[in-house]
Amino acid sequence: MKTGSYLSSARTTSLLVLLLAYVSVDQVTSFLNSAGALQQAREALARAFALQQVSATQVPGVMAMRPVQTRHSCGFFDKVDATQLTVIRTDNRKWRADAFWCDAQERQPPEPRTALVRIARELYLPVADAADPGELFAAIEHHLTDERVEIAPLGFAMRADLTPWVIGPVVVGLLALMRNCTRSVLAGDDHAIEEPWLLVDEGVGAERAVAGLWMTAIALAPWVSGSTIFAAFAWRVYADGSMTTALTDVTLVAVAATVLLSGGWLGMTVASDLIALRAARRQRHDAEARRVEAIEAN
Amino acid sequence: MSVVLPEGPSRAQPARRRGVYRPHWPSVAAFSLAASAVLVGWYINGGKSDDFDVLAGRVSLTEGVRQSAGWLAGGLALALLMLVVRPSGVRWHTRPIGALLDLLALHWRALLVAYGVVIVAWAATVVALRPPAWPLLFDALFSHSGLEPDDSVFWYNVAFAAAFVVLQLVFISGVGGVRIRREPARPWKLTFSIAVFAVATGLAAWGTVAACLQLVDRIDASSGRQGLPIVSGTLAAAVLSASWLFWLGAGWVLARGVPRETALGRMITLVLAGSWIEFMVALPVELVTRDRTKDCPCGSGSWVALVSAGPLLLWSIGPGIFLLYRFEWQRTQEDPAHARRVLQRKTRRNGARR
Repeated sequence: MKTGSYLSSARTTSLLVLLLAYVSVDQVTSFLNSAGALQQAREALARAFALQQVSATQVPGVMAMRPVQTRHSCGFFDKVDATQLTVIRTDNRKWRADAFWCDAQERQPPEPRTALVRIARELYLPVADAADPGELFAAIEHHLTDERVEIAPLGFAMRADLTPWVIGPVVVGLLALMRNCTRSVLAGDDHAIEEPWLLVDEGVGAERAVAGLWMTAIALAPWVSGSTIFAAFAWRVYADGSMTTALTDVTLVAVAATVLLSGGWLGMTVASDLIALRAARRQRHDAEARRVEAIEAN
Repeated sequence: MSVVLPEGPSRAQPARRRGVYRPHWPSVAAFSLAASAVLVGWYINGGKSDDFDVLAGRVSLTEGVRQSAGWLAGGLALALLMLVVRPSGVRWHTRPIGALLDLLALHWRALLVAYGVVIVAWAATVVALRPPAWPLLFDALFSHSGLEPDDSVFWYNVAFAAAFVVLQLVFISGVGGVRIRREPARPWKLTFSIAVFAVATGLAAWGTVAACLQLVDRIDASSGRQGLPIVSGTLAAAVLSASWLFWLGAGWVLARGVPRETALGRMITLVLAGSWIEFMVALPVELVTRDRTKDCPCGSGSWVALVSAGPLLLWSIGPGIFLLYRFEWQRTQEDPAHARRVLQRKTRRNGARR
């Protein structure tokens, strides 16, 4: 059985897996960067509410604001009085943030608006002089949570936090395909000896190092892409305050864990099969060399 | 083709069953009693809790105590169930990753050097970033919670380092010494290995669950969502103890009917995999939620998972390399052709370099 095409397919698939893992990390990085800004903006709005500078009717897209008096940790042993604000949006999503001052001297009336203006400017959003904290916050939140990304090769746009949910299972599928190809080559008689691939060829020096890095990347790629699903999930929960039931949460965690673990296992087995294939090809090369030596000796 | 590593060296000589684990019940019972005493001591020390104050003669059957008892009973019941269901142990195939294990075992010296480099890098990073204690390095790297170091923690750091090494030695002592004519290690040594395994895996499992609860925002009562605050208080100790009891049973099942190397290999694989999974779940969740818990990460599930995953990973690699060395050594003892194959491979590689 000629298995060269299988090995060629595995090689192409490995590049695709690495590329997708990179795209997944890139997407997650973009909204991880905005997580800090979003939380700061929400806390600033909560402080504005605690200082009676803003109400539910002044923030676009907000249906109700419910304050609860609580305590907020400012360290392992320090706690201060705080107002926990739960905000319910018109689309029924909700989130919460604490209004607190670890340093009482920071409790100044202009401070929340100043913080929101700073965040808006950092995001390059237009800031009107007369904009109140509610309007500033709405602009920041819309910019940070409803952003969509263009998936150019596929020709459609999707929310950034959904991208890992798509890429994770695709990576698992591609690894399954790759393992199938590798095992077909391993089971074949010729081990695709005519088809070169750095990973399964005997190399020295830089070639050997690159092959090792490539194989490590293949083994780690599914862990990375699976891990980004957890980041996307956490982001959506904290950004939207997802109104989900316990059953939904358990199901989503189970799906994310399944993708992570199945991908991780496939990555390891693919790497193991590639190592086995390299050893098999080496044995075949040795046998061939011995045969040639025997012929020459005769 | 001989590239697939069997499940430990035992498969080559199943008839001899050298060093197969047999429960040594007196030592097992003594160990369990000692561990129970530690647990009770913890509860007594938890007299500051409203639920439990044995020293003051108050044991109120509050919801917290009932919940904790439920967790402990559940963990114990699952462990006993597993022991009853699997009287002859479990089958564990390493064939799918046999070639990978083969390669790692062959390069155990390189792995040992790499482990040393990792430890030096960890120490250098601790010196540079100055976290409050060296096990909290991942907090300084990823969480940026701003915990300040204190001069008085020097001895805590020394104690942590000593405990780290002692636990590694206790764990690997279960496999016995390295001698040409080796006698099996005494049964109680493997019992300690199982206990250490249960602590490490129990911690990893608890951390992973805590990170998942943090992920869905069900760890903090103020979220308004029904959840489990398993990071602090009596419930934290109960869940951790339940997890430990469960993994104690699992450790015994893993050690049943197999040689010691295989048993410890299975255990260290689980610890390594568990702490790696804990890390891969905790890191993204912590990166997203750290801004929310920046003032005090103490109640964050992802934070405790992250800071426990780092030392666990570092800890498990050491015994893992030792066991790889043992596999390689055992194979060389049992299969003379193996040493020749290794020599041929190295000779060919050196020839290729020239």
